[in-house]
Amino acid sequence: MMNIMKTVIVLLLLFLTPGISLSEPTLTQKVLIGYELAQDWDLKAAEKLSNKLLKEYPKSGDAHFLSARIEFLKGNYERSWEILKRVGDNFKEIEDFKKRVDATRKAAKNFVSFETDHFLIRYEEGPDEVLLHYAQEVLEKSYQVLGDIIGYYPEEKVLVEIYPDRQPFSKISPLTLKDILTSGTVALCKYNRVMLISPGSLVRGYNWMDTISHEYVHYLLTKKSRNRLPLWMHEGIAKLLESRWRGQTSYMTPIMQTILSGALKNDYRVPLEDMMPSLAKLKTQKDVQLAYAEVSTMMEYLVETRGIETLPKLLEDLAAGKKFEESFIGRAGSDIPGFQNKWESWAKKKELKYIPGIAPLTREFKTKNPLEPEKDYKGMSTERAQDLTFLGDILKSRDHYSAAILEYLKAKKESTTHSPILFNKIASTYIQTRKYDEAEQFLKESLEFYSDFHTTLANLGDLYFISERYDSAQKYLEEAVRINPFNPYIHVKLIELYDRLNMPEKKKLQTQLFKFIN
Amino acid sequence: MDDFSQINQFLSLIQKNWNRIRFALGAYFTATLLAGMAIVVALFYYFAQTKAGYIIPVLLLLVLGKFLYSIIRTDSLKKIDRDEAALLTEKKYPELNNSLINSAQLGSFINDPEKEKLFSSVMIRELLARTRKQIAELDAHEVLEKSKTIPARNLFLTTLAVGLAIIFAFPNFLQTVLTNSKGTPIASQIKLPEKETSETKVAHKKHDFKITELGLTLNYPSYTQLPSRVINPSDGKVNTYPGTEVIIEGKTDEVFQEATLVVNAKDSILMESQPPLSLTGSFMVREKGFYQFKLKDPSGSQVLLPQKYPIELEQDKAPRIVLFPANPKPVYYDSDKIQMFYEGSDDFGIESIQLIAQIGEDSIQKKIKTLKDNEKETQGRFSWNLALESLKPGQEVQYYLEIKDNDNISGPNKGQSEMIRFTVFDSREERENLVRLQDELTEKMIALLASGLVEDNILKTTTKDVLYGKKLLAANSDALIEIIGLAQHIKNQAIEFGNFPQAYLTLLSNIISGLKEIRQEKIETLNKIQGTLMKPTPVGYNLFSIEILNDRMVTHLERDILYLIKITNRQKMDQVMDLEDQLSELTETLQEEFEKIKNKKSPLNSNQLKSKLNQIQQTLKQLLDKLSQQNQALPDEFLNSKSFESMNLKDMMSSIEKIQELANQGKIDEAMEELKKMAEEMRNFAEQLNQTEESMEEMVDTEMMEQLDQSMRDLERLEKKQQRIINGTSEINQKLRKQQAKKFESLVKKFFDELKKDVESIRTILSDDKKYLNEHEAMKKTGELLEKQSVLSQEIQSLSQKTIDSSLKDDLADNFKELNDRRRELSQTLMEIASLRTQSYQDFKEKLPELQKKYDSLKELADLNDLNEFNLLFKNTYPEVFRWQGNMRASRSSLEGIGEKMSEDLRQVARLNAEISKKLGSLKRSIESSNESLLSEEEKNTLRKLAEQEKKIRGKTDGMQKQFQEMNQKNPLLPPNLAQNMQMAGQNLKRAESRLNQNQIQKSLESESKAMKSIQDTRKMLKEMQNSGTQMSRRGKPRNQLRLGTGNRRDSRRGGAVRMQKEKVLLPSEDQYKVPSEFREEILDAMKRETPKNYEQLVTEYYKELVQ
Repeated sequence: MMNIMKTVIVLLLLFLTPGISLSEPTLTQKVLIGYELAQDWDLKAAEKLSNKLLKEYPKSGDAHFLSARIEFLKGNYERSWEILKRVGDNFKEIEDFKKRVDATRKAAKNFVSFETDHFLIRYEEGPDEVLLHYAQEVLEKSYQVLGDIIGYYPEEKVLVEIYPDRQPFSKISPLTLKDILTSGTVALCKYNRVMLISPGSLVRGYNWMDTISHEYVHYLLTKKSRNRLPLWMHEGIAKLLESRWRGQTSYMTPIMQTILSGALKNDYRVPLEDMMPSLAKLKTQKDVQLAYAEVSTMMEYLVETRGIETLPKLLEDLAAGKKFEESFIGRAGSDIPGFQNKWESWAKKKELKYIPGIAPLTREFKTKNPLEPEKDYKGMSTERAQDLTFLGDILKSRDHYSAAILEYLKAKKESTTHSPILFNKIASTYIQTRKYDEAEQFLKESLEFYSDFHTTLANLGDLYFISERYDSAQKYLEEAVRINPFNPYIHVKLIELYDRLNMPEKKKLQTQLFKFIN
Repeated sequence: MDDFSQINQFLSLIQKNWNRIRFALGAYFTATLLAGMAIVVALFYYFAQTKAGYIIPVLLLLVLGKFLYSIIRTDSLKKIDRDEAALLTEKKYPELNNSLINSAQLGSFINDPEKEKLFSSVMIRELLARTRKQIAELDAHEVLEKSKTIPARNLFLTTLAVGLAIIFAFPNFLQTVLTNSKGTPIASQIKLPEKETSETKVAHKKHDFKITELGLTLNYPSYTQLPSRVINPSDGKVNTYPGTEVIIEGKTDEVFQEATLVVNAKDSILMESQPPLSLTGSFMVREKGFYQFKLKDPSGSQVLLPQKYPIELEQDKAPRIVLFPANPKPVYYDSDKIQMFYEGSDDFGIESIQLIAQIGEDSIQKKIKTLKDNEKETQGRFSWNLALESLKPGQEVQYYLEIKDNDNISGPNKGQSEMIRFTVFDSREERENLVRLQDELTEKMIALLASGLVEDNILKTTTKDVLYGKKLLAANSDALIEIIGLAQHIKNQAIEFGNFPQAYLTLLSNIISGLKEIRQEKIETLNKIQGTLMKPTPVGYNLFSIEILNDRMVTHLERDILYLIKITNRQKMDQVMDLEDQLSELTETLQEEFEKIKNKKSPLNSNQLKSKLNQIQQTLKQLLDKLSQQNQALPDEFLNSKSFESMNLKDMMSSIEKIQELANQGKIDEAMEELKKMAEEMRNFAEQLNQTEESMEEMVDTEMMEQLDQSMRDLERLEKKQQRIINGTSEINQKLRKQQAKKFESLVKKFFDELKKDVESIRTILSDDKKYLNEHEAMKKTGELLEKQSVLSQEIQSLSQKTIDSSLKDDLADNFKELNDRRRELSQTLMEIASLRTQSYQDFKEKLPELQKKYDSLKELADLNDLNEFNLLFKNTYPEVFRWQGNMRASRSSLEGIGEKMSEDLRQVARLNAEISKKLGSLKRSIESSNESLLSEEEKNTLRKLAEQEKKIRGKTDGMQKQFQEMNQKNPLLPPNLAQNMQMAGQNLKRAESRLNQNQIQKSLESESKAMKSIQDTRKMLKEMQNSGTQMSRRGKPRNQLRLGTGNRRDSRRGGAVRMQKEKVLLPSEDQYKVPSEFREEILDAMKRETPKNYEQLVTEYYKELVQ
């Protein structure tokens, strides 16, 4: 026990005074090296050292603690827990770690595994199985595409965990439930793994495929840089590259563009230092979006001016022990403030769309209370708009479609922001009254603002399906099902569509996927 | 010994054997007969109480008789002679070939010369010798078969066995037989007459007594409180109440040794005898019957005299009681008090009166009155507080009064009043109905909103046709009236049930008033269009006003629908939560019960358990029903429509059955486990419900709530400021009044001296008029005729009833005739009254004392020099004189003479009033004008400053008025009175400001106070809104004691609660109409009290009948 205490004290000292060095490598120093290796996610080296230490010091709590940390990072939570049982918890750090391991092993208790060529996906049996097909696609594509860009292909299989809901996710991550709700964070790359909340726990799903790729970028960056890349750049590169797996280079959403454009005009920024320790810790969704917009455009600017190869080179510098600032100046051609000034000038010249009335959408989680009525008009900007939308819903439910449309249109007029929900309500009511052109107009308009809003995609798919424009229907329904594979209606529509388009293989696959959620 | 002797000896031996067998047979026979009879008789008594009492003994008798008869028929019991003995032997030994019989018969002929001629002695000897030889070889004992007695013996044994079997087979056979055989009525009836007859026969033979000079003294039982009665002479017949002591005196015609009274042929009571011939005795009357005399003659023989003197019982009548419910209703609240009057009577005295009520399966008794003084009549009132009876909603209750008399001899007789039935108000059900009505109202409003929106669009975009607009207005007006009517009905119901938050009522009021206003304007617009269309050259009507109206209607409906849904959802949620609470409570109770069973503290029997589980089941069912109503996937449902299916409540039903089953099998631990699971599910459900309730929208948003709080604070400040202004003004006013009093003291005195003269003159005129009218012949005649009219009216009323009552009787025609006569008479009287042309003077005459009284008061105030009070009363009095002047002028038939005088007198009074008014006015003016001179500059400055302050306050109140108006438009739960009060406050503040500037201090004070009152009223309203637990905001939301309802479906179109409409008011029986006069007033009083509107009519009808 005393040993552990000593180690922790030395560790703390070392953290506080990074320049300290000891001439004789003691156990504590060896353990420290082990921790550093583990922190860099160099688990192979860390494990080798740990095993050696365990042999040399079989009664050392420090050695066991290091071993437990390595097992945890490898994803062996039960093993880690077993080792930790042998370690006392007199120190807060140990106690906290024990709590984390315990929470993780409990949250992952029901996990089963699915292996792809380069990934090990853990998930809970049940509806989440529908994600596997899509996850495999995005992860393997990302492996190739991003590996090419970053110049790193992980040797070991990367662990990906899908948590069924935000509660277990908040328990295993440093994020609180409030952080999740405020920032809309639904995925993390931490502890040598990628973790995400299943889109099934959200009302309309989310763009989880880009998100998982985004987190994989983080994984690559951490590994390649030996975890020495600052967070803002981490996020910037991840955002810049998150859609590359599907061959898409544009990454800026209309919201990001609008927010950045507004911020540049109003001279408002989220400083880089405020982005620590996580973007998820920022106060508002708007700030989160702005931070992403800032750092991702910075990276775009860096890539545009210095070439994409700058990124792996920078990472290599860091891995080699070069200080970030030093490396950055070398690779970017200026220091960070200078770079930022240049970026600002560049960004101001960039054609950024400014769409008034567009605001980041709050990620809506499904309520845990089955009795609570679904109130999707809650997200409207004004109370009057909410009331009118609600009245529209009431009228629609009593088959007064024309009146409902009029009420929705009044709500649209009253609303200060663009509400994709309201636009979808208008469109779906038009569809019910067979006014397809009007419906399409509203849906297209909304899609321009919120390109991954599931309901819009689903309604568009439905609209084209009804009006027998099957190619378009396929495009939107497939997009919709990727955003939210838990909507049975989309599966049914797709199955029928594939049938009409004579695509038996696709139909078969869709039928199989549908079975997971049905 | 010769042959013949030997033969005879042989035969004698046979005879002996025969007799032995016969004896045995006889013995068996007798024994069987006796045993059989004993069994038969015993069976008869044993079954004496049953209908089949005779059947079994008779059957047994028949069976036994058959066997016995067969024995008798065989002649085995008869004696046999020698010949028969010989024949028996011959029968046994046929080889004798009749030699024995021949020997027996011919043997006696030997040596008989007479017979010698017929039979040769030699031959006989030869026969005898041969026969002797033959019988010598025979055994005489063998002649008769010994088995002959066996059937008889068997029969006896069988009978005996049957007897024993019966004794052992039937429980308590011997005791029952003995009990039944003793003292059975049949036995006594059978025996007694025989005894009597025999004794009488004996008596008749010896003496023939006669009882004369009979006298009776009846000493009645104490409860009757009747004095003793002597009946002398008497025919001996006794007719009295049970418990009466009857003393009998009489004389006999012959000397007797001893006398006894025999009552009902069983009780013998010794009489006192007074020699030589008198006798005295007594007995207590208990039952109906007779009594006789039994005398012992000097020889000692008992003689029962044949004459029976009847004993008749007089009946103590059962007491009577009549119940008069003072506030009868078919439905009472469980907190109501039932007022009742009663009137009881009895022939000898009442002991007690009690209320007996049947509530479900339970019965309760309440002592109302105990009488100790043997009162024969009683009446009183009783107030039954239902709150003390823990009644359940919807429970049916029947009650009546029971009266007992004081009969302590045969126990009190009872009487009972008519039974009255009512139902306990089921607030939950009524509230559920109300929620249904609200749903219906919402649907109607939604339909109108839909049409309004669409039509509005058409008006704005498509049509310019005025006829279209007209049609639209008409259709909307019709729909609006339906909505307004329904909303009004809901509001009335809610007010009637009580306990509804003010905000709820305000919402309904706002819906009603707002839509009413719109409808009115629509109708006006419709009329304008109609007017335009009807013109010969129609001018185009602008549709713009229709559009505006339609827009207003749509906006109103939008707002109303939203809030109505919000409030209805809260009510529905409360209903569900109520049920859930109930269910949780029941489950917990059951858990506790199980714990007790487990700890063996109190065993719960299966019925109790079943009842508890049933209760849980019922409540759960109600809950499921309620939740299933929320399953239509409508956006305005208060619970998620999909949730119902995912809940485990349905499984709970089967859990309950399982618990019951386990508990019945004694598996308490397992049952408890199952119950725990159920309780856990209940807890989860409750938590979800709570969360859902928490997430429900606020009735008033936070912003508005803050505004209201701010308004409250502002009003408090304004109130303080206004109070300071009032104080300042009052201070100056008091100073001023003192100065005025000083300055105008002499002027006022002089003024009142003059006024007194005027008032006195008026009083004289009025007094003179009174005298004149009293003494005028025409007026006297009028008085008489009016009295006659009154009497006739009463007679007609009673005759009308009588005629109706006799509609099926013979005297109908007579009654009808009489009624018509009276009507004719009344008509004649009315004509006479009319011909007198005094009606208006009669009215004046009747009202004159009142007017005089007012002038008397004015005189007193004038004496006191009280200017203000005088002014006040005068203001109210002088218009009356004008009114009478007008009345008399307008009267078509006025009698000359009186008319002229009255007109002249009233003119005089009016003139004097004008004088007084003028004087009052000039005095007040001069006092007011003195303000200017009496007020100092400083005071005037102060008044101006106060006016300035009033202006500032007005600015605030105007702002608040606007704010309240806006808030009210936004949220119909806020009462419009808030803005109205502020408007009034502003108006009065403006007046006060102007008056203060003009130094009109008193008038200013009036306005200031009015403004203050408006401010206070508004603040009070806001305070009430905060405190009333209106569920308007969750902040500090107190839970309503009665949540806003739970409900069952009803037909709303009929209005009112269905049950209430179906219930009939139970009318008392005929005799209950005879209400004592003092009760009439009480009942009429009760009529004035509030009655729920739905059964107002029923109750009114009831009272009508009751007091007619």
